[in-house]
Amino acid sequence: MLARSTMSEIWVQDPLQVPSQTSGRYDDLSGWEAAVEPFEMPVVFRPGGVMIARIRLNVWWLADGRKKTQLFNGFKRVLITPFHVQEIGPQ
Amino acid sequence: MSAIRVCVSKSREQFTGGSAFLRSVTCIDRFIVGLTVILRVMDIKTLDWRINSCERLNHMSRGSKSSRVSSSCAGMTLIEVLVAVGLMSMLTVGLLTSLQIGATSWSTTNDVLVLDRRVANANMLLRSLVASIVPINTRTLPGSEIPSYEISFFQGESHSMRFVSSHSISFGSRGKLQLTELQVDPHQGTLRLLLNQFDYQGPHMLSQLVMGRVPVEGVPGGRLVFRPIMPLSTTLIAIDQLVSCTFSYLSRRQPNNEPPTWARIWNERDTLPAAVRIELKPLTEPDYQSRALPISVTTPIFAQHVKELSELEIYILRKAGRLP
Repeated sequence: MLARSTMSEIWVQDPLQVPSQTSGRYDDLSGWEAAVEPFEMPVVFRPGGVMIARIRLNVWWLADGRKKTQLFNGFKRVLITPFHVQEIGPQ
Repeated sequence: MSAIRVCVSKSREQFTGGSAFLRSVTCIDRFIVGLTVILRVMDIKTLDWRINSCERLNHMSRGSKSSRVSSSCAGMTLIEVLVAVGLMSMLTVGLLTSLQIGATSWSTTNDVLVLDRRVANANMLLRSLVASIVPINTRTLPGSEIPSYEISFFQGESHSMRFVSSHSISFGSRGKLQLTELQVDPHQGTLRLLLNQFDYQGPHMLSQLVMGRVPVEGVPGGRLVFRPIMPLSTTLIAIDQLVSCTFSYLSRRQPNNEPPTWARIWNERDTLPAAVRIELKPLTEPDYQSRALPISVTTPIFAQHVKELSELEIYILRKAGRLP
């Protein structure tokens, strides 16, 4: 439930920053790290096109003194902006 | 002199066998004697007991190799009986205690599982309801405080939400369209989230819910005011034991390319929010090792309100070859 809620929080961001890395905490014993990266890009990478971004969400928690993790993936269609072209560059 | 006599059932006499069988029968007889003593211990006058069954067993064992049966049935002292009773009591107490501990732990585990499932179901239900929002257009009633015009029905306030959803509490995604109401309700010092659902009967059903409008700065025509959401006998308590519960709404990207923002009240009339966030703060502190607690829900709304094209727009699109 926590992972799904966090994934939705990231997913609804508009514009979604690609690439980007964020992290947060649920409490002292648990938290999350997220990385957004391009997954599939069009042949012609230009503003106005559409690419698919992957959100890699890693939820961690401490149990019995050990750090445990679970990875979740989410995908979103993202409109390519000049920012993306500048950050990622034409492929 | 009163002696305790125990009658062993006739059926036991029918058995014949070796000395092991006779010893086990003797033990059973001792147990029965012990029980009888518990019942009649107040009437004991003598320690010289003779058991009827022993005589019969002796009779049975004459032909066998064992001769220990007769000596073991000679009698029981009060000390032996008391020790047996004590052991029995300790065993019974231990057994009952372990049974009680087992029953309690089973009950506790069951309660925690039920609560966890309830929290997960409530979370899933809220998510499904919001994700299945259907954009329904309706016209405000003529004659009320506002002129009759078309709106995309959605009531979004900080503690109330009303919309049409294709997700039904009873039938899931297979049910009819449902007019869904969510209301934060104070109850015994805490908050709870109430949920109403009614079968969608048509746009007139929605237009009756609009009562008027209030002027809001920056919103042309003001914000619509809806009828209050009332608890009914069919109301479902989706989540309870909350300290706070607030709804917020994410605006869609504007034509001027301003980034979307979260707002506590939804003022738009012709669009639905891009996402809805239900922030929940439970009364108890999180303890993930024991049970789950309600957590905030953020759900994107995929449905979009589509505006009807005007005659001019249709003409232009046809001219451009984009419409047949």
